[in-house]
Amino acid sequence: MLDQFLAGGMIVTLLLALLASGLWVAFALIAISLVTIVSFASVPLADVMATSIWSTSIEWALVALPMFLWMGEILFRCRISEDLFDGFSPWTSWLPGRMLHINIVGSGLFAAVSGSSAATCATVGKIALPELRRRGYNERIALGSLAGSATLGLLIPPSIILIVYGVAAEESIARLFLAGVFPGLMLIGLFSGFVVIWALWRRDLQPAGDDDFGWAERWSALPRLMPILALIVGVVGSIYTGLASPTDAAAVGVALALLLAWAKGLLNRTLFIESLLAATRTSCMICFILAAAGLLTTAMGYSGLPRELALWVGSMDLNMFTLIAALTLLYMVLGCFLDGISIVVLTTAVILPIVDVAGIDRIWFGIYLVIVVEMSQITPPVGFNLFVIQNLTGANIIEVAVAAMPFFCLLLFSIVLIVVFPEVATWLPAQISFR
Amino acid sequence: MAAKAAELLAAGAICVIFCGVLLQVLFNAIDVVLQIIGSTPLGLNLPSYAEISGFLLASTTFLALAGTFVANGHIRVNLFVDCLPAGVRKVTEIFCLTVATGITATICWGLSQLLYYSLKYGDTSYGLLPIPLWIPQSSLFLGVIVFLACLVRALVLAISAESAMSSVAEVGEGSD
Repeated sequence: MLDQFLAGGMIVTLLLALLASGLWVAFALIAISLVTIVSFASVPLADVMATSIWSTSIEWALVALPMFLWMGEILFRCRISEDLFDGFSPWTSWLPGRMLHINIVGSGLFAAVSGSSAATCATVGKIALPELRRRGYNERIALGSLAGSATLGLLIPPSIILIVYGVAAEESIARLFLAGVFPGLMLIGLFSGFVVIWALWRRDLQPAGDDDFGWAERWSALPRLMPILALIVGVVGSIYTGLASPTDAAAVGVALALLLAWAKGLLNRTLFIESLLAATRTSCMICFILAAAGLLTTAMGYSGLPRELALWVGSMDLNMFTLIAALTLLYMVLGCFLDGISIVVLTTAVILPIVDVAGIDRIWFGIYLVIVVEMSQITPPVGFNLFVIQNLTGANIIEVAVAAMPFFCLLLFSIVLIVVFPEVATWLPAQISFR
Repeated sequence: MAAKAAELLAAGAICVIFCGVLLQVLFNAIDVVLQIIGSTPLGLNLPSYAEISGFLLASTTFLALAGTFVANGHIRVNLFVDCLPAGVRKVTEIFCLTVATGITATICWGLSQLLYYSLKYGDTSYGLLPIPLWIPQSSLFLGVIVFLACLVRALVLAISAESAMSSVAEVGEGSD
């Protein structure tokens, strides 16, 4: 037992050292897998590696990944942000905090057609931040609400992180997507609620209302939102109704996105090639890490370490709350240094046996994991949303992180909520049966 | 150059997957419509389209490895390395490239074995359409070869830059 823990500790130390040395994440995962296999089993290394990488890479469910990435890349280049802003801003004038809600709902809407947090942040922020600044909104809450709500890109389906988790944990991606819907809406509610309370509390920081709109303006602005709403209904609706698999829906999404680009007169060779190449590269990066993670799972199987760890944690007889609290703490530390994909694949290789032993639902755990990864997007020093906002505004990363702090706390609070009310995540996937 | 070509091949494969899946969705939609208007579904199917898409996806991943590397697309943790002085950073970079090259060479060897046995025993996929496994496997192999070449090139460049640096330093010291 002690030997096992010693070995486990050495493997973890080696992994951290390799990652810190700047070795590419996929190679670091493969390197510790090889070390683990060599120390625990005598099998032909190259053969095990090739077989494992091959079988992970040809996964059909993974095909959804490049499709959703491509769709996001096309829409990212389609000047969707103007539409979101003009279409939605008349609707916010009655709420305390007014246009600040564009950051939140705009992120929620874009998140429903894109799977990435950074893309959501950049798309919504490109228009919303300058407009908010021009109208004299408080800079800090504007930056914070954008950084926080853009993380919804990870949770609201289609979600790249959930595809990665689904493939690595061998769970249905369609069910995971469904499970993400209500927690996503819940977070929109929490974020908007916070902005309302803040706006009522700090009336002195609210700009003079030059942005009052009548109902006529509201309705006439609505068509600007039509393309993106049509996309959401077309893509996500077909998954929810069980008509199409996530991969099918993603391909339809690419077709609709191309159609939208064409209708806006933006579709040309450059847009097509650039979006396709960007999607190819991101897909390659993620799939290579997943292949490495597949090998790590195999290696961990040889070592028996995760099983031992699970037994040990099981023997401590922790209740679920303690376990989730401990894991959340671990992820908060990991999230400061690692990106979301790496956190997810390390989790599925090492932590999932513990989760199973503790009797935690894997679908629920996927949603929990995404919220933790969302938190890591807005914690320094490595939070992708912070970098995006720094690029957009020139604001210092620490400044943005401080501004995003309340939203970080809201994410933490939402974890408490889904622990106490797990049905938020598990109810919807249980309602729908798939072909 | 080879990296760019392989990457374009990968992008092409994504287009093929896209068209295939879209065509299958269209077939399904036709059947749904036919069912609604009360006639018999045609049951059109692209044979083994899920399997072929998987093979194409794997090809895409591996063919794009080199191009993604050149475009700095593979993620790594730069946080700590960025704090190091330039001299030490060169050493860690050479270390990273050496490990990456070693692993890629091993993958290359492993895939060549996989490919060899698939050819020798004529392994095919299990689907409706038995596809010889060597076809997708050879595109993976090709991708890894190009990637390996890229890594070796980067490693040689890093080492020669290092020795150029130190020889400049030596010359500098000599002239003092």
